[in-house]
Amino acid sequence: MIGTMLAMHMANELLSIPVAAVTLAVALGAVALAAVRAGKTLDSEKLPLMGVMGAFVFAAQMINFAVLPGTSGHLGGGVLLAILLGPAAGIVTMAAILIVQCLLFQDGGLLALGTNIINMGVVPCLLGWCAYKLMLGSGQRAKAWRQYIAAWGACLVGVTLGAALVPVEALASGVLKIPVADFLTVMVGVHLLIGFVEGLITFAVIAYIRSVRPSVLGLDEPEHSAKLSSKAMAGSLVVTALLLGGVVSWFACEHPDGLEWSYQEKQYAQADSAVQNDSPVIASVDDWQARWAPMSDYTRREASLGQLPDEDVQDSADAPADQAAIAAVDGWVSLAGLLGTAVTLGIVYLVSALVRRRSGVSESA
Amino acid sequence: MSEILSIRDMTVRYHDGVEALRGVCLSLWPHQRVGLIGPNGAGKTSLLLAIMRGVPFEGDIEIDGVALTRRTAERARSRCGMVFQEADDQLFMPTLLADVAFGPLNQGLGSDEAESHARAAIAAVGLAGLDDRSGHHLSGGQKRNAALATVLAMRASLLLLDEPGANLDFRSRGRLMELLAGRDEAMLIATHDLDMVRQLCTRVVLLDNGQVAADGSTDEILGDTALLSRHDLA
Amino acid sequence: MHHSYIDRFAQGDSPIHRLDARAKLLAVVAYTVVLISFDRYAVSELAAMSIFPLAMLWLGRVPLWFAFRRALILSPFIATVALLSTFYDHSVHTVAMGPWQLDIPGGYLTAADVIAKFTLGILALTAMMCTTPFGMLLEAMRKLAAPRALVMQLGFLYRYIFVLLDEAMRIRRARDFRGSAQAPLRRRLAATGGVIGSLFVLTLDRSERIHRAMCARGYRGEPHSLTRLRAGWADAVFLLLTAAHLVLARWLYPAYF
Repeated sequence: MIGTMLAMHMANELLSIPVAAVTLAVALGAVALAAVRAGKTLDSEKLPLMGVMGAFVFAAQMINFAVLPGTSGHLGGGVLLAILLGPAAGIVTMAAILIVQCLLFQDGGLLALGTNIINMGVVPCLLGWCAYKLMLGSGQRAKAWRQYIAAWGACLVGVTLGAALVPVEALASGVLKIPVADFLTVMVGVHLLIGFVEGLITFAVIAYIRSVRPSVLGLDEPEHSAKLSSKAMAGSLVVTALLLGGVVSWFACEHPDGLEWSYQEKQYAQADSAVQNDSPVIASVDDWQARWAPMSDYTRREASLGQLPDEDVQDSADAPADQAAIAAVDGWVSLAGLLGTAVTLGIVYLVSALVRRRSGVSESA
Repeated sequence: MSEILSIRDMTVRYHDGVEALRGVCLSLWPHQRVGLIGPNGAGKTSLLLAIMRGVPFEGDIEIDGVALTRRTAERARSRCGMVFQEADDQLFMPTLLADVAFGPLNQGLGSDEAESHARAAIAAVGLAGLDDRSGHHLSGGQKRNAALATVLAMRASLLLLDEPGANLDFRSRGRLMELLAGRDEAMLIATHDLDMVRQLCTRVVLLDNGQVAADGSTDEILGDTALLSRHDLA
Repeated sequence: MHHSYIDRFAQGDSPIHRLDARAKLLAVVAYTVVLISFDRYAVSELAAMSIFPLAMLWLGRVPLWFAFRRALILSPFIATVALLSTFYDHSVHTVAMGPWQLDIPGGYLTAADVIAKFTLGILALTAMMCTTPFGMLLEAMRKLAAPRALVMQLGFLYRYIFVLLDEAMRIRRARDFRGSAQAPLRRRLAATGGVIGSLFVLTLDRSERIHRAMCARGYRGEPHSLTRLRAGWADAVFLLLTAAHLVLARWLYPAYF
């Protein structure tokens, strides 16, 4: 049954608008590039048929592999697609799959499409494929066992790296009030297992195809990229890691939110000085960010322009009386709002019932 | 009256060396319905595919007087339409209307004109009202009719049908035959269903092992039980 | 299966069904953006945001039980974040309703907030999907500047999901009926690889056949499609109402001084 599978897709609510926008842009760019690239290696006429391959992935995800009695593993698909169809076609196909999963099965949020396409499309297809090629080595395509192990390893790498991005994106959004290190550990740990099993399934599929239709396995190499050197690929993996690290640290500096709780708890006393947002660039970005939440929450955080975390704490400690007053007024406003909402809903419901009755009458007429 | 289809000395050889058809000669006249029969593997599907220039061939094929080459393939294809064996392969758009309009749109018609051609074709096969359904919501018989509609909308003068009656229940098959009987396009129907041939076709071509084994009137060929059993058809 | 429910509802008729798909898509995207712009402690403010999805569902004649059922399948992330927030966030917030005030740990507020946003988001998306036939939605995306090749792909995906799922079910059943559950690990793995691998090969062949059928109908690489979307006054009114609702719910109602 569709929809009974636990979807490890990112949801809207874990993201902030800027992060959602940025990841959407990045994902769009990556898919566009991949589409152009895929159009060169396959017939560009056949590009729409990647959709049919997407349906294959859906179907393949339904096939369970009983690892232990009661526990089944499933295929994610990104790495397998990349190995069989090439990374470009893989990315394009996975993007289509994720969009349909979001729309038809509500797996993953609408605004989280960008992150999902990156985590479960671009990363497994591109980096997983790079890992595959690296492990395969050059000129030894004939060796079956090497191919199988490369496929398995590629899954491990691709799936885990993609999962590792989730805490990064959540951190950048500042929605999370969970220590990033713990989140990262859990995500990576769980997905190492998932990647392990997916790797087994992928290797079994490759083994089957190799025996039944070996020509397919040569499909992923267009002539000119066959010479992509190991150095280039290792280089791209390193660059990616550096970029990731750079992005994480930039966001961490600029958005202390995710680490805010620890300041509140005064556990990291000496970290106060670690977050100084005096840079005009960061201040202006903060300004822009603040505009998205002009009437934010009840209590401490007023305008967060360039404020140091310990100032926040002091503010709230200084004005409990003001707080109570604000809270009191808030209370009536909230109540009024709730009543207003209830009344509106009631009106809408009546209208819809009337509409239904009217069209019901005209149908029977 | 000139031929609508003329095949002369055609050979189809696949890239693994297998010869699916050898030296085939065949002619069809406008409004004529011809049954193409033969055992499995005789090359019926390959013949139909060659006419649509879907597989490479040697020899001459002329459709409505136009020689079939790479350059003229598009023009030729708009004169003849093929209904494939698997209806699912032919209904690939999200809705039935989009599927049936696909051909006319590719023929260069504007959106509105294509839509009206499509609706007319859908009505002609008895599926009016299902325009917004998707292919996977149709029953087997409906799918087959829908596939026919996709080709009828292109206003082709020659129809190629590959096993149109396969997998249909008695009633659906009957309805399909009624439908085909009422059309005036020329038809080449590849089928195992000798009863369908008897009811619809005036001429029969028997294909076996890639070659034309017999070509004559329906009564002649289907009445010759010795011929039929020689080719595993009776 | 939910897909066929959605299809069935989407083929219905109602004032919402008759709206232009582009308007609905834009409205849902705007709604989702505004929804996640609420901060993590907003709970009672979210009540006002329930108007849009509920209105769409009621006026669109989509049964509420169906929409809520989709939302009940909580994403493991949401559940995890909700749970972990209650452990880690110990900041205290004063929540007021009418004359009452309550001090609640921030973690619980975040949990409620995240779950509420998730539910509302799903309701809105379900409302759109159940009142808009998928083909129309694709056309809306194409008109709103989505790349043509992508839209065609989505069309193929949608069209063939069930064909392939059926095939997969059949092959898997054939595997299971031959006792694969009792087989040792190695053979189980090989069987799984075989099922998926043969599915892949079948799909490759199928896409070849589809390509052939497309070429037989004149396809040359440039996708042409029907234009059936026609925007009207109702759509403009709908968009205006939605915009007003969102502005009110987000910026005016929870007005703090």
